[in-house]
Amino acid sequence: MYIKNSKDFKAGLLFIIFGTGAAFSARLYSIGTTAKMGPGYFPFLLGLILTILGILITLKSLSREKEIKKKIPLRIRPMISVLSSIVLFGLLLYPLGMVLSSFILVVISSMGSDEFNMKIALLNALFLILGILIIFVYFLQFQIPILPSFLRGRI
Amino acid sequence: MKTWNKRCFPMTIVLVFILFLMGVLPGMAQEIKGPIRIIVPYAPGGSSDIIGRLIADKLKDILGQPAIVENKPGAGGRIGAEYAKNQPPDGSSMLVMNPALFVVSPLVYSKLGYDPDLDFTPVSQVQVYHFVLSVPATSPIKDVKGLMDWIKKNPKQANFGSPAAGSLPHFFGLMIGKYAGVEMVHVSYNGSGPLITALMGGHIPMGVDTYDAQSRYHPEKIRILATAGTSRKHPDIPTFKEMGYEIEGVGWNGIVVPSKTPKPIVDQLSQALVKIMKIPDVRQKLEQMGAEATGTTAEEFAKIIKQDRERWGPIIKASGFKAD
Amino acid sequence: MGMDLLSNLALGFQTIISPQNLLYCFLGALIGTLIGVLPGIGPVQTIAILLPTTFALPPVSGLIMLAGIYYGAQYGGSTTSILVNVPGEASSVVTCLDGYQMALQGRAGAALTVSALGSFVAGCFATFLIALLAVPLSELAFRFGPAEYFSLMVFGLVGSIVFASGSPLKAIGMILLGLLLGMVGTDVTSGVQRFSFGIPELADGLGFVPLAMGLFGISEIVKSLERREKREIIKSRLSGFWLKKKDIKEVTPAVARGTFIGSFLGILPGGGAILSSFISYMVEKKVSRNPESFGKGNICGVASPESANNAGAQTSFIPLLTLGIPSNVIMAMMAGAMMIHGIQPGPRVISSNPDLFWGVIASMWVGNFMLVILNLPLIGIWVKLLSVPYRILYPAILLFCCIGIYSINNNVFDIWLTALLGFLGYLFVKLECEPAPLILGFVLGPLMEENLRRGMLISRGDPSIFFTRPLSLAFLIMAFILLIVIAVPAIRKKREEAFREEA
Repeated sequence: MYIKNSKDFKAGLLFIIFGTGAAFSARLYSIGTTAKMGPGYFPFLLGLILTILGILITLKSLSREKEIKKKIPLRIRPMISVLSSIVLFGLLLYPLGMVLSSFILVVISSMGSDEFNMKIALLNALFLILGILIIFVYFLQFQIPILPSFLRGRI
Repeated sequence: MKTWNKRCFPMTIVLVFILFLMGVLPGMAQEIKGPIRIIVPYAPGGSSDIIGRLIADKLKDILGQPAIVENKPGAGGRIGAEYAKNQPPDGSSMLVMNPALFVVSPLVYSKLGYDPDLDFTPVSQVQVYHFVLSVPATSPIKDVKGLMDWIKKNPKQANFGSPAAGSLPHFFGLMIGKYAGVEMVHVSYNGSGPLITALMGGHIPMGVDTYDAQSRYHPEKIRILATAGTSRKHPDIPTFKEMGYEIEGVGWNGIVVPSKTPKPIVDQLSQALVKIMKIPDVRQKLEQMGAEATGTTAEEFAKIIKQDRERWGPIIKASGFKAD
Repeated sequence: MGMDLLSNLALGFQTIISPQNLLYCFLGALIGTLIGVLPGIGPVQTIAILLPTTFALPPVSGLIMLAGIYYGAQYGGSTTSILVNVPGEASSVVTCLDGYQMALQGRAGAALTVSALGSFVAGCFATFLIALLAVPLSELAFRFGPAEYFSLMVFGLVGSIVFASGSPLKAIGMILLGLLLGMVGTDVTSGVQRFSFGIPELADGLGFVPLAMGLFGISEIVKSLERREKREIIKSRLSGFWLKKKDIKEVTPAVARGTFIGSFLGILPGGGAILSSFISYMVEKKVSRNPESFGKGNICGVASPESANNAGAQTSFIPLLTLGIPSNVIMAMMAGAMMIHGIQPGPRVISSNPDLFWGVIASMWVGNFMLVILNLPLIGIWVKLLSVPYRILYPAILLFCCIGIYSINNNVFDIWLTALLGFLGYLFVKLECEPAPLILGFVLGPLMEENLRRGMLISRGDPSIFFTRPLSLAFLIMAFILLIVIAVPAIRKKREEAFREEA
């Protein structure tokens, strides 16, 4: 037995994980009866169906033939830089304020591109922050911390 | 090394002194330094938000400090309450509070991010809204007595709708069922709008909500049987009390501050709120919304909270309702 | 009736034509468009933030401006969906499917034009419908009890398989996954918090914007960055904003269908308006002569849902204006805006504040007109935006997303959630699982569960209510037919393949 379609195989596994996870944690809530369904009823059922479907998809992806694999090199840098820039922005927004954390977001996310250029990234950040200060802070008065916390005072 | 000491020692002293002042002064302050933030734990446009804005608008005239509303929505108000408890206790931050957060949540959550008694000090109850019980206009039920008879005769159809599971109207409905001696089935909706629609369409036999949420609808579509306050909310609609039923239910909005706020500041705020809730323009606006301005002192508010716990506590516990 | 309508409309236009109201209408449309174009920032945050400002205005002007922001943002949102594949709200998810493909093929201008014109036509029709039939139409909402809603959602979910252009099995898996993700948060029926792991920020469920942003926007950005080649989008083919004769012929019936579906579904409080763009897309794909071109840049796949979406946005005012029932978050905020001025939203508004009622209705038409005037020239600018180097464009998208997502609840938790969902979206891309069915499951799932359980509670466990009520039965039958229509060609194809192999 070989995996003929590795994408389907993995997708099936993903569904099985989510399905069993949901079904198991749904047991934490009362299942109830069909007449008076508890909060666990629906998720339990859905988790069960998803698991079965996942198994089906996984089985279908197996075959006696081998998969003809196109080797695509996995490139991890774009994903890491984009996701970490978002997480960092969330972490730093309160302590550092919008201005500094936006700088960090723009610079780090820009690193994900093959055409990364520090000067352009910095200029881009400067320009964007100015725009945000004018549109969101001045005109729309978003409630967002702007300066680092030690400069902000209480508010 | 020496020069380093010479230059830095005085600076360190100054720095320590400044830090000391920063840490101590706010605690010593006996007057409110603006800007004042009224934290509304819901999105703009709701009744808490509107009362918050009405108060902010008047507060700045009375205290001479700018006052703004800060919306901190999420988790039915619990996120805003948790946020408010950590604000500086100097009168510059207050929270718009209601029984769901102060009375119900502590009973139904095993893990709550704030303690209503330890984290907050009551300042003033500012408005109340009466609960009502209504039926579709096509319903054969004409009054409260008819309703009680109907419930007893048709226990299989005795469902009532409320705007949310675990809301005070939910427990208020259970209270009515208890009075009729029938365990009514609670059907919860996702807010007042869907509840009213279902009621108007006749999909449920009766609904419990606040007066302000139901009074605006067509009398041709909905019949309000009774309001649950101590006095009539509408000249033509009786209260449960006067019909001979000991059923009372009101919700409210009140203002609380973080618990370490000094007493003089609490009193000052409370006096300001009492004054604000007497302003005719404010009273009229709330009246138009179907609510009622109160404006109590801090002590009265604390008493109301205590009474509400005594009233709702047993019903909530008996219902077995748990949110987490 | 005819005379009445004329005099009422005259009153409405008299109200809107005052310089002040015209200004606020324009301001609303402009702010809405600009805000809508920014990725991650939609009408919900904008209206929430600008709501207090309108309290200072006279009520008519305030409502006209808010309404302008609402449909302006809808226009703007489609622009972002088409240009960069970032949907701002549920209805523009559908626009992404074919709109973005058109943009990749160098037809962004045509997609934007058809979206603007389709929306305008739909908006005009829906406004006319409101003026003529608002009160009787509002009665329609009452016919929908739990059984009807449940069956409608079943129909929608069965239909969402149509969105899959790849494996239908995986699409069903994604729908189920979406249903499960929709369960996160406070359960409406019992008040219990599910899958929230004690995190209060999850008590209200996963936000739609973080989900859409993660599954569409972020995964698209990562995907684009991975393709080493520069994204020289269509610089060479900027021409062709205008629709060709062939396009117009193709698109007209699609716009009409979308308008009709949107106008009807928009009236239903609770989920109707969300369904409108999905269902119209479904219908388009089913009536089309070459359904396989959907998802690959079919212009009808943009025209019809965009029209439906705008018509639905317009008619969702009906329950608010005639009954005082807000059918979605935005309408709830509008109700708040009315209340702070001491106007009780409800059936009495027509008689007590006729200038407000008819003024807002007339402003919808005027606003839609302004939007077309505003947007058609802007299309050139938007398309040019695509020639901005990608390394400058995508950090900007990310930054706007983060700020927009933060401002929904003024909470950084949603930003982290977006990153997590972005990772999930990336996995889906790698595994060739399509996110659109997941989104539909996410939106419809809670409504379906809620109404199923409510129906069973009310009937005390008797499932016959779903089959004995005529409207409900009709939806179920339609769902069944749709299921057969979807299944039969797939089965036949399978058999043909099997035959061929044997031969």
